Amino acid sequence: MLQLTTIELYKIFARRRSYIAFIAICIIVVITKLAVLYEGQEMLDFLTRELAESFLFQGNLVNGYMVCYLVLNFLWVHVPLLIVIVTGDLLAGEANAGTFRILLTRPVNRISLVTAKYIAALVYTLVIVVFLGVFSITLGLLIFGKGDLMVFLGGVNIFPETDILWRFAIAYGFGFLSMATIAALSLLLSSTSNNSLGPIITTMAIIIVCTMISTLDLEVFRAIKPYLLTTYLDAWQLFFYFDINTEEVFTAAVILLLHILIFYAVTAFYFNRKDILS
Amino acid sequence: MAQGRERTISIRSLSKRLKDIQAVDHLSLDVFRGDVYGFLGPNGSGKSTTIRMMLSLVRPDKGSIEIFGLPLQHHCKQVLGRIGALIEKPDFYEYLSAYKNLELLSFYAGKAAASGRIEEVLELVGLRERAMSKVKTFSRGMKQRLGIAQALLNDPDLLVLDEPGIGLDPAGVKDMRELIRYLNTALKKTIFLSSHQLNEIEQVSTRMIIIDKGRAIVEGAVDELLQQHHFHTRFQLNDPQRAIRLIKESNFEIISAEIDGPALKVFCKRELVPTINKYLNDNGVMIEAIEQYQRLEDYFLTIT
Repeated sequence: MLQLTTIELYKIFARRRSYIAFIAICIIVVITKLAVLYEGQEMLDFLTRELAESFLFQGNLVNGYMVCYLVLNFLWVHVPLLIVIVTGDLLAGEANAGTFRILLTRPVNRISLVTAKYIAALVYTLVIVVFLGVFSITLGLLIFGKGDLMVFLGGVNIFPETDILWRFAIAYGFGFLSMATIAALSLLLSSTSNNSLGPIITTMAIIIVCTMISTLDLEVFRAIKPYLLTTYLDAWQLFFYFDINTEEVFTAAVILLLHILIFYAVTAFYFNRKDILS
Repeated sequence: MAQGRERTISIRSLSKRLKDIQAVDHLSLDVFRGDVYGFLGPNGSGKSTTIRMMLSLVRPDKGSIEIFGLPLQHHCKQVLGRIGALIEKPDFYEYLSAYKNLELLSFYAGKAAASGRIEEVLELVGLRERAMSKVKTFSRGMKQRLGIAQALLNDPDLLVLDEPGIGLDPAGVKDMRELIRYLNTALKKTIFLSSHQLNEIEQVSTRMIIIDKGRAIVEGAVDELLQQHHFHTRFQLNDPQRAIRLIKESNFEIISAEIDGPALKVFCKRELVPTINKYLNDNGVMIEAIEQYQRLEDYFLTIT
């Protein structure tokens, strides 16, 4: 399994398209920093204009941590797309290129192959999320310096400097779990397709539709919302409350893990029985 | 000829339906150790589907496949470890070099091929000089040769080659034919060879099968099939119209007859030719020349 995973990782990182995500993240983070650099104080003033009448805000509130928190919001749509470009291609790309004909005529177990590809997808996803976090925090601190973190989540939460880094670490960790779920979904769709574009577009379409259902407060969707993966894509926000609701965190983690398990099982079952006709 | 020899491939009543088409229909065949087995059939006859089932790429609906005496369904890994395959046009990881492709593929087989082995197979197919070039820079013929190299990588006992001559220039086709002969005679590989280039099959195969609509039409030793059955005779004569009318009025056991310019082409058993010659002469048709053809291509075209 280790050898198969190593081969899959080699194949991922030998392709130019795998680096699009890193370039895009650099651009997104730099643009965000520039936006905050020029408009950050005005934005903060706007958000705190009512509070400013009752409270006195002191210190460097437009700081590296605040920018890093803003960047976390890209875990909703931008980062999933960047990950799916690679993970959605893992099986469909081989079918499209015809390489299954030389690969699967070797003594390789198909379930092992799917497992190796998913592990490789997880490693790639982890690298992307870690890169996003490290690049964002490093650049943020270099440009804006340190300070307390002000977060608007149903109110204002201000975290002292010493209480921030562990929250980011866990938030990015949870972000990785969300992205791993999306990677599993894209791998499932990839196993059913013979071209790379289909799984990428379909995964994004599913995320967009499910996100709409998750965010729309309509009675008709209330019953299914708790079971949609998109309901938990922003669960990293739970770590930016003073009192972290561990029950909610646990539920979100379990639901996402269940999604991963189901997506993986269906992928393995389907791919193991699939006729390779391409 | 095949009696008493060890069976390398044994297929029984193999069937597969793809959507609305019965791609393979109760196909049975035997390939013996040391054979160069020709697998012939027109487009859409079920050749590729059969080969894919033999290599576990496609699941059969019915029937059984035994390779090296082992049921493929239960010993897939063990069996595939002893097979080298080239199916249709070979596709590789274009963004990697030829050498890296072979190295990765050897890892998939569970054991890394020694660099010496990779160089050896590249040398065998004439690609050693281009080992470090990315596959995307290769011509179709070079990819085809790399396809042969990957099939040979793990020193297989059985080679399954699907249209190995496609994309090769005439010199490449000749080299391929010689390579197949060398692999069969010198390295004792059993070869299952599917091809549309029937003259290639005719020249290298020891046994063959012709299939159509997924069914076996005839199977046997190439020489025997050519000798005992039908072949094609071209009678060059003065009045082809009259000759064909006479042939059709006769009771000769011929397969078909057709006018071919100033000649009459007759598909029939070899021993019938003198009788037809005399019959036409006796009926006033002047025969200027008789040419006999027993190429497999004619036989193949007649049957399918």
